[in-house]
Formats: sequence, structure tokens, C-alpha cells
Amino acid sequence: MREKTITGCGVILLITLFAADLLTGSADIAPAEVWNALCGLSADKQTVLIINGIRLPKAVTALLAGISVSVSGLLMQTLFRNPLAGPYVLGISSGASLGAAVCVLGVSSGILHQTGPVLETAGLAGAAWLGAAAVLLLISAASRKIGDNTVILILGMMLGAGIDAVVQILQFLSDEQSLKSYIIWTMGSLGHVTGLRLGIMGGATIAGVVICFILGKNLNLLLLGESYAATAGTDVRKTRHWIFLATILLSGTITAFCGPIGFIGLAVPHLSRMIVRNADLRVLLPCTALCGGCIMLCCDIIAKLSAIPVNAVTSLVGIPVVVWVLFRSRKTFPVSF
Amino acid sequence: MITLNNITIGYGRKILLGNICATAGKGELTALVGRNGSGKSTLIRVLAGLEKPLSGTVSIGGADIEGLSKKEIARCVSFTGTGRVRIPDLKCRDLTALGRAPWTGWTGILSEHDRDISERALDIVGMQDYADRCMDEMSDGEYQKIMIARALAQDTPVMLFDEPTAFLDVPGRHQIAGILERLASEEGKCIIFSTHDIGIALEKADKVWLLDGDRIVSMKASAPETAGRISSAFGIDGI
Repeated sequence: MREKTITGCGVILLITLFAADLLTGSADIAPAEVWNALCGLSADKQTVLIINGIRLPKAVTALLAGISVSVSGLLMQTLFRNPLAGPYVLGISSGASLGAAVCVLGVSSGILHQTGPVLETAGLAGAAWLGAAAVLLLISAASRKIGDNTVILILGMMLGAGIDAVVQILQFLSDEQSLKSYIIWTMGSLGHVTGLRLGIMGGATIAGVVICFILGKNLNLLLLGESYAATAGTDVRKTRHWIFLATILLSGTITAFCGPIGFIGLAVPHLSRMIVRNADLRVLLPCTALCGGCIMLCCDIIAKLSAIPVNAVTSLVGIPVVVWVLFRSRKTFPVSF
Repeated sequence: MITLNNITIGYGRKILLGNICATAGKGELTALVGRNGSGKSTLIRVLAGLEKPLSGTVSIGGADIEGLSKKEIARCVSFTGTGRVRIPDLKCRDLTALGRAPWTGWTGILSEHDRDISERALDIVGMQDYADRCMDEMSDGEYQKIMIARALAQDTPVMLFDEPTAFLDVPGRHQIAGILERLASEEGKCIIFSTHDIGIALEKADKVWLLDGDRIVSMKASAPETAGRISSAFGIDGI
């Protein structure tokens, strides 16, 4: 009952924030006009373009990004049984950054500049996605050999640090214009995801979330640790591979299309735990997805009102939550000893 | 019930136990004793199917566990490890119900029957009143009882416990060992538990498996020579 009430409230809040996000922007458009534009009743071409061409895709992107990043954070915290696990710790964000850096700062940037803005952005996104996937494949291969989650976590951090160093070298060697493009990508943006890319992002998010729901029972068993999960009949290795696949789909795609979105993946699962007070992943997953969507929409609204990059907003919103969680429940983190 | 056929266990070149044979039967409580590093935990993990022996086989009810699927093994053997897991906001009732995993479908949704078995498991270990409490609020003794309930809910003929009495005070240790004794005699379970508390092993168990060097010595706990044999293995006088 409690869970149903929370889910109901969450859905209402999500719809409200989605509407608020559509109403927010530099152009002053009345709610009735926004509604007319959405329904195809508006005569003003510019309004239709702003609402359907800019604000709607951006709001959908914010929603998808919030869901994806939060759910992948929850997945990693569950798999590694570590409250501080997230895309960054595993080196996924670094892998994506390397892909982007190679694309923007390296050899390919010259070629990409000549191909026009659409292909340039798609090339950048694709490279970042490949980088993220490559890191996860490496970690996954290592996990097959090692089998110890803590070692894999440390390996991910080492890999991330190594990749960051390579990116720094690339930055040092690149020219001013390329460096600026790259820095803008790292700030994160929800505004460049339209058409086909929005479709891919939607598909990846749905696929990732569906995998998570199918894994629900096994994720619950993993809460107790791999020995308990295995002796309860779970194929731990297979489950781990599915979790990795969901992470590539969720976290990799978002990092590729929107740039690295900081701290939402780490903070939102903790917020959800505080709200539902239930460790059951089958309850926690939908709540995390809802919570992630709401917070990302909030961040987008704040970013629009204050005209600052959305990644700065997510960090400013996320970091206090993480710090608060650290202070509040040091004893109750899901760790074993 | 569970039989070790010429098992050798160890890591790489290091052999912990070589060519050991032993049997534990239905309704029998077996205490696994031995010095630190003698291979108690490894043996339990091998019996649970978590690790493979270097050679030899483990059979349960006549079936070699090598030939069983993970789910089939999970329906034959339950495992409770050493140490403590803390999961915030996980209610004892839900933790116990996790034991039903090998019997539920892919969603893990519990049937009425699954719920009844979980509730009964909580009842047997005397934790019915704690069902709605969260596991991170438990004392070590209460935690052990809930973990026993979880293993009991798994409804397996063989139950393995790695040091269930560690971190407990003397009354706590006796209480936990008493529950295990009851599960063996009243529920007909084949229970193997490792312990450093030799007094408890001799008092509560039916059988003692002493790990001595790379061998295993299986003895009746009530036999007069058992205590002496353990003392000599531990290099101490009298227990």
C-alpha cells in the first residue's frame, strides 16, 4: 500500500515537472499556447518549433537521462555491494570521455568538421559510447578471470585514472578550438538529442530498464553477496553479464549523447532508499527510475532558469545528497565484513 | 545423505585436505572442527557447490552434485556463510523469504505456500516477533537466528553453516547450537556446521569431523575417546 502511494505521488510529480519543464525557457510562451502547440493546434510556426522542436525533445531527454543514470547507479551499487559505486568508479565515464576526446581532439576531428554538424555530433556520441562499452567489456573480461567484485572495483578505478591521463595528454596536444568543443561536451547537455538519437536513447533506456526488471529476483539475492546468490540457485556470472549489458545500454548511451552527468547515478538510489525504506529491488527500481526522472527534470529547469550547464546543476544537487547520506547512515550501508 | 568420495581440496598447489571420505546422514548434526587454516570453510564451500574439489566428488542423496544444475543444488543444500551482512531496510520477514528463491519463478513472487514455509521457519527459530524489524537493527545472535530461518525456508535436506556461533557470547552460542540440534532431530535435517567451540561440538553434535593435517577424522561426539583425539590434534592437554 505504502509503495503504491509513493509510486502514485511520484508519477504525479513527474508529470507536473515534465509540464513545468515544457513551460520553462528563454521565450515567454503561455501554458495554453504550449498545449496548442503540442496538440498541433497552434498557428504560430515559431511557437510550434520552440515547443515541439526544442523543449519537448529536451524534456524527454532529461527524463530518459534521469531514469538511465539513476537505474545504472542502483545496478552498480547492488552488484558491487558498495554505496559509492557508479559509472565513474567503474571507469565507464572515463571510457566515454576518451572516446569523445579522441573524436574531438584527435585525428578524426578534422574529418568530422567537414561532414556537417549532424554527423559531427553523431560521430562524437558514437565514439564516446564505444569508449564506454570498451571499458565495460574489459572489466567484464577481467571479472570472468577474477570473480572478486572489490578487485574489479579497484581495477575500474585504475583503468579510469589511466584513461583520464591519456585524455589529459590529448588535451595538452590539441588546438584551442578542439579543446573548447571537448570542454563543452564534458559539461553535459540535454539540448542536442533529437530525431534518431532520441529514438536510440529511448530504445536503450527501455531495453536497459526491462533487463533490470527481469533481473529483479537475482538482484535481490545479490544483496546478500555472491555466495548466497549462488547457493540460492542464481547463475552469478550470467547475471553479472546481464547487469553489464544493461549498464552499457543505460549509462553508456546517456554519457555518449549528453556528456557525463555527474552524481545523479550515485545520489538518486540513496534518495529512493530513504523514500521507500524497502531493500526489495523490485520496489526500489521503479522508485529510483521515477526519482531520477523527477530530479533530472528539476535540474534541467534550474539549468534553463540560471543559464548554466546542466552537469554543474546535477553536481550541485547531487553532492550535498551524497554527503548527507554519508553522514546520516554510515553504519547502515550495505557492506559486509 | 551427503557423501564425500575421495575429495582433495586446496588452492593451486597447496593441498588442504587429500583424498578424504566421509558421510553425514539424515537427522544428524555434524560439527566440523579444526585449527585455523585447516580447510573448514573451504570444505563447506565445496559441499555447497561454490567451489570445485581438486579431485573426487560430493554426492547428495546418491546424486553427484557435478551433474546437478545450480537450481537443483539449491534445492538440496543451503549455505550460511561466516561474517555478517548488513542490508539497510531489509525486513527479517523478507530476508527469510529470500530462502524461497530456488522454489519461486523468475519474478521471485511468493505463493501462499512459500509464505507459510517462511513464517514457519521464523517460528521454529523463535523470531516471529522480529519479522517486521530490519536486519541492520539486529544483535549478532538475532542475526544468526534469522539466517538460520532463511536457510530453513530454503527447505533443503542438507544445511551447511560456516561458524554460526562466532562472535556470540556463551549463552548465545548454546542457543544457536540448540536450534541446530533441534532442526536435525525434529526436522530430520542433515546439518554440518564448522566451529571453534569444541565444548559445543562435543555437547550438541552427533558427530565430529576433525580436520587433522590433510586428513579428516569422523568420530561420534559421545564416544569417550573423541575429546582426547581433538586435544591431541590441537596440541593441548584436556578439554
